[in-house]
Amino acid sequence: MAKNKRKNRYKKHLVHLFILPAALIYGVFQLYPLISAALNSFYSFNGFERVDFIGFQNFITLFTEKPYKDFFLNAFSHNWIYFFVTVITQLIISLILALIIHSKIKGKEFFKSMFFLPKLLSVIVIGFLFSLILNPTRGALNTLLEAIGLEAFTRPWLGDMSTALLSVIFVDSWASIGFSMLIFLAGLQAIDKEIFEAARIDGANSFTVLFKITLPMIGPALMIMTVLTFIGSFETFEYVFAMQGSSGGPYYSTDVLTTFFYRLAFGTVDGGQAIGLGSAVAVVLFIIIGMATSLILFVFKRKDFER
Amino acid sequence: MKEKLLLGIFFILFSGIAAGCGNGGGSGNSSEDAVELEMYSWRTEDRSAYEEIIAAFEEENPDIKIKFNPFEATEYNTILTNALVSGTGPDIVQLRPYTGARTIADNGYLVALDDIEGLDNFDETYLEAAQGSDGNTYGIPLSLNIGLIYYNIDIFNEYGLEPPETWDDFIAVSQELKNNGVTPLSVGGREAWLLSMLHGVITPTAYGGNDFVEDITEGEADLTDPRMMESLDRMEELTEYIADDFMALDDADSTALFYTEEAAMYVNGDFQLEVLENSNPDLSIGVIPGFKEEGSDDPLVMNWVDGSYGVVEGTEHEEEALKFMEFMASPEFGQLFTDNLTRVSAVEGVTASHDIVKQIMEASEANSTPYLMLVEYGLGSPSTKGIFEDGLQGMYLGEITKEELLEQSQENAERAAEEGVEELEMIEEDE
Amino acid sequence: MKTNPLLQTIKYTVLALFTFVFGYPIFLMIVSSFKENAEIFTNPLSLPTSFNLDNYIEVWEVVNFSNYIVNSIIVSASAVFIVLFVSSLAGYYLSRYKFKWNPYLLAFFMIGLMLPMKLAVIPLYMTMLKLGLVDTLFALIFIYVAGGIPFAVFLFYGFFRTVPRALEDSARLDGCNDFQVYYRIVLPIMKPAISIVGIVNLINVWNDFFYPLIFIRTDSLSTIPLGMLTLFGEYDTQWNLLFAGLTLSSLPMIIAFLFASRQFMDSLTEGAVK
Repeated sequence: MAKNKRKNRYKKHLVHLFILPAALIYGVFQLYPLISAALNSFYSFNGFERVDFIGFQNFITLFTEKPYKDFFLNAFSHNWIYFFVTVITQLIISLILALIIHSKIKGKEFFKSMFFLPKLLSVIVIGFLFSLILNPTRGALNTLLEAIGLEAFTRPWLGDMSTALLSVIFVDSWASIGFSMLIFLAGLQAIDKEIFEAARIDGANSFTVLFKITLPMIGPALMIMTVLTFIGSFETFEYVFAMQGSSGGPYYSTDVLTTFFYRLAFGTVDGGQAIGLGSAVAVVLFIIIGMATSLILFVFKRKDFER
Repeated sequence: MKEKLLLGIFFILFSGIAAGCGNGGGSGNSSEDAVELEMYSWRTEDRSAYEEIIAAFEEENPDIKIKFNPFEATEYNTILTNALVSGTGPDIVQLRPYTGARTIADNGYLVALDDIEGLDNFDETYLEAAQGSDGNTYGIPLSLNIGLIYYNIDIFNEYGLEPPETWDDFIAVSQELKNNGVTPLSVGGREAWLLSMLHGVITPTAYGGNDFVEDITEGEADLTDPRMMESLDRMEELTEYIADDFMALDDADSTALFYTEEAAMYVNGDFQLEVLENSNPDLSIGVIPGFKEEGSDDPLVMNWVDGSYGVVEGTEHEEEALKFMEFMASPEFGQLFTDNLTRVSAVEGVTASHDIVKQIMEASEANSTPYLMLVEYGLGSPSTKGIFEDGLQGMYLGEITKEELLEQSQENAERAAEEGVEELEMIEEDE
Repeated sequence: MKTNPLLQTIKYTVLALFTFVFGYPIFLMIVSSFKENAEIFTNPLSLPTSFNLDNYIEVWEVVNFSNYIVNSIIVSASAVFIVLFVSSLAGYYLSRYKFKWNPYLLAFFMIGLMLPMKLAVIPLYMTMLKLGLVDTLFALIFIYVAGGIPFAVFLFYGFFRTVPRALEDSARLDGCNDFQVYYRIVLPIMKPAISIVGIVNLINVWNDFFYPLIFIRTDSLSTIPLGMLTLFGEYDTQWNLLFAGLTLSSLPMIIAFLFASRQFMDSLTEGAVK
């Protein structure tokens, strides 16, 4: 097969022009900076200039020296919380919504559009909008809770250690549910309708169909979405940054690895930069996300194989 | 084969970058008759005022044009460092005070300004805000920032209260306001830097003012000093008089609480005066510039130089840039600055037309103390100021004790000092 | 077919609840943009007492909005078009030609899919500096194209593998060269893949504020989200203006969505299955 191709009359080297633009742009503006960022973790810096190659010293500092190790562990644990909460607030809810919309109901298109709407807004808009809504005294949420007699549930949402991170995660989920719902819907629509018909003829009720047929059929999609959520939770930056600033306030309660990276690599208004240390955080993130991606590839491979 | 392919790709990548290098750097400004100077600043909100001031300069110097180019304050450091390292940037730059300016100067990016005419228009201590480790001055200080307690005159009159002169007065007044159902004090605790500011305004008379600052600079005291603990006791005592849920309020929220007359007092810098006046023109604003120490007639005012302007080493138009520096050091500029921006100029002998600005200025000239955290602890990544103010959040939220807060801050100060030494050594090795 | 009435009620209740959850904040944003500042503070939940466009007029006057829209359109349109063009070519190359190095090329693109590009922003900045692209719209376009390529290449690669070759082969026999085959035969049948890549990239690019924040310095080159950021900084106590700004900046996307929501979502669901 391949041999036949080669013998064709067209000038075969011209075909490489197909891959060249993509490889070039991607190589120069993404891969090269990524590699360079990874290498930075092995250098000491003076401002933006590399000074000396210092091996793993940045990593050692990051994991053993105060205050870096405390910051790292704190942020790392928040990424995990981010992941677990997002699985509930985003994945499970979007799956339920997809299942409902996929079932026999009226106004599918309306609901789909409604749920997808937030995805169209910029993070900067969403972050700001919710800072206003979650404002303790004049914000709509607390006012609403008071209006319907739930004063007991009003909170200083973004200024409390116990609710700040959760609030940010909810806002993130608010914006992203629509998209994951569509992915699940796509998975559901791909299931052969005849299977359902057959099951119904056999007298299976809705719940049996759900647990015995639907969920197992979209299992791979669920698995992939979980891994994607994991990656998203470790890459998360925009919502924390837009709502709580680069130090993940109050008192680092919303600090995640990317904001920690940002503070080190870019400095704060009155603090200096530490690009080497920041890059070490980036490399740790690369490794975590790289492992998760390998997992997703493994799942893909198996899915291909089953087909 | 595989290796060759990879090599090929890398060759393409790097040759692309190298080719870019050639074209990128060299394009200088094609200047006509007038020289154009580019000026970087982080004061986006002051653009129109600056443009007026620059117009005054351009009138006197028709052969020089100045392009004022302000950036978001939060991104300014990154942008400035990039521009300096790449050498493609501006001629005149705004410098962060104290450690910010020193780091840049020590790296050799700035022209020494010691011979500038008019440098003696400044108080010695203000010039320290932009001096290198070599003792030379690298920046012309622009404005003096002053931390203040603003108060609402109408509310004070309504309850027959006088503006407090000491800490004890302050607590008495706050208690009285609280008894009457008025929120005594508005602070935006969600933005940690405001807590540092609060500490700087409220506590100098608790830690012993300039004596303690001197002990710190001479290494005879550190942050675990009992005097520092007293300042934290004061911060803690304050809690019950600050607006509910103040840890969830940002700068804008706390400002709004004050100008909507829900809170009677408000701590922030003098630079908020214009915002307050614009937001509510009917507000009757009074200021308490600081508390009086025992045995002193003048309140102790916390001030610091906000930023200064320096000339970039290697600029093609050094002569013209220096001319503008001279202008910035002149009383004429100071006056323009004060009039246009209702801020306190760092130039001596400027008179303010705005009553409040005048009051602040006089108070600060009579008796002042530096912003301890900014001036002495701005160093490091993370800076000790950052650790301290974030720690204050932790203290108010009950996450850490005052002792822990001071210990962590001191620990970081020691680490940051070491970091600084290492950096200096690296620079010396370079040269 | 019979439906369980109780179950239906529960379903509609859930849907109604979530419609509220998703719609209300946006509704609130739009409604508040017509209010006066004091009104927002005293009655945050009520409807505005009068509908006037004062806030919008004021925001429009202080912010260079028309400029921002033009920049956003230039950047988004170019970035999306280039991503589609180069990635579909690359995907086609990878799936249709069996060169020895193709698996390595796939892995090469895979790295970008795995790693968050934001962490590489400092070297990226230095690269842009060397190329003299800082503070130009080209910087943004290149970054978004580079960022969009890995996902797009994979989607196109997967898509082409599901399309039978027979069509192309017969076209070749008719004397078409590679580019003609690609242009006449391949492009038309990959509409679903094109729309999903296009829409995902459009949403991302249009709303991004991170890269403009770092790479754009001149106000006249700002995109909408960056321009809004400046507005937030300058008017942080005037909520009425802020809400008007938020609404204004979201409007172009919402209008586009209202006109084409069906195609929008259908292509997303169709594209994802492939």
